[in-house]
Amino acid sequence: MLCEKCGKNPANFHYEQNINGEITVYNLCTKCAVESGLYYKTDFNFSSFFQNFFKPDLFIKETLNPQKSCPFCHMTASQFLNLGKFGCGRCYDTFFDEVSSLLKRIHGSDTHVGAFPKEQEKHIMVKRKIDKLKEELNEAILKENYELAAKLRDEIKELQNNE
Amino acid sequence: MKSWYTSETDGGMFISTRIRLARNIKNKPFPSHLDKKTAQEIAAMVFDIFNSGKIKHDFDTFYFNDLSENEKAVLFEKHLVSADFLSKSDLPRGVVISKDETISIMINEEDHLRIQVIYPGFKLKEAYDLARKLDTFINEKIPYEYHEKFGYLTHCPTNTGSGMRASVMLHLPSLTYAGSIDNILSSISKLGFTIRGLYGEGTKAEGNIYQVSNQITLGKTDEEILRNLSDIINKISTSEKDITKQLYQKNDAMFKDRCMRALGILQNAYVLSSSEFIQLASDVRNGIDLGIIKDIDPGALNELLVLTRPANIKKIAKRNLSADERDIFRAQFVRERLKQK
Repeated sequence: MLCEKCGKNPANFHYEQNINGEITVYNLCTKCAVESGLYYKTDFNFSSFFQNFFKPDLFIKETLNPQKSCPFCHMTASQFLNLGKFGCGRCYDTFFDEVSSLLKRIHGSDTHVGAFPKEQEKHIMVKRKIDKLKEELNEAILKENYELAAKLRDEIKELQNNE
Repeated sequence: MKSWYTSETDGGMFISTRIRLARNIKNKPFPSHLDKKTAQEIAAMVFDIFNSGKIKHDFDTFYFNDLSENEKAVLFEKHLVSADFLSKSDLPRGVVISKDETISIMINEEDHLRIQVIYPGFKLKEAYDLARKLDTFINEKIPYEYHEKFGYLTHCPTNTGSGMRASVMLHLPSLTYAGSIDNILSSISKLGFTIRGLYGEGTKAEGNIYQVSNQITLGKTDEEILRNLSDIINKISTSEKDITKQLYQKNDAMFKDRCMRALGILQNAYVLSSSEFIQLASDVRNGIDLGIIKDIDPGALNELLVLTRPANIKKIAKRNLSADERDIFRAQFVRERLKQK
């Protein structure tokens, strides 16, 4: 069906007006619909709105020096802010604080607890154990359970010395 | 194991299970910042692993840019490479694919390595175990970028940590009919999961086929993510079955009519577009699941899901086809595959 007004473009806008039971149907193209004031075209686009959502610049622009750059891949802070992606593994340490807050926003956490390369198994298991004991230690101190705290502290020390 | 789209699969609600691990090689810039020479070296390094020893008979290794456009699209339609991999790139990009097409590794996509396992049906644990086995096997020869705090480092922060994306592809006609997909999306997104259409973005799905996958890759172990995904899939499949049962009991003649008509068209049509096929195949799949349609091999639908796609049709025809010729060829191909036994 062609537009009832211009007769040139396909009618992709269908509008039913009901005034006191009197129904008028319009079949128009988008252009004529906009011109007749029946349809308001906006530039708001959901997909592009969310595309930029995970870019870090929304929140942390002020705190980061735009001149700072990764010593390995030479990605600058302003590039990182713009892309929201990394150029190499070293970027994660170069922009450590910003990365942390970015990851927290995406995943609700900035600390990996899952799988690891086999050759690091021993080291990682010990590190995770120490992290867990430190948490318990903080809790013990908060509860003023100093006997337990002292025990946990010694355990942590021993693990750290063995590493 | 068979590939997810062979006729020997079970058919049914669960179509395939996929695990993808994103990995990068230590001390090399990510592909976005990589020069051609290093990219080539990386591909060669991975090819070497799969071209030596006993396993060399189980894998094919090749450079993606050596393929014709149609061959590239065939791999995409089989879900062996991603849509992003199809876009032009100056970098040498490699592919490793197992002969049974359950394993594929993309080299120099967004990350140096994208290790992927696809199994037919709902087999999260099996697919994950194999993916990790491959991961460890490669890692014995090539060191990865791994950070004590952040885990596996990836180009995009949405993959950082485990680098794992686990997804299950399933057929949900009744939940779609009931308009429940958006509700599922809003409830599972709170848990860090998402549901989207088979090839399309968002919740618009061709043929009522959806993919449910994890979004979160940090702060949870792989096992936790897989367990949660598995629970979600079980919940979704139970409600799909319940709604189907209700709809069927309410109006069984309408239901049967719909399934049988769809089969009738597929068995008799002379012109068939890809989207018409996928829509009708959904009704036939439903009919088989409910026992309304008995004399059709359920796996044939999984097979046709891939083989009726434009690039695969062209490959089977072994010649160039215009869009109209393709629809005629597709109709003929489907008629033969769905012949009454």
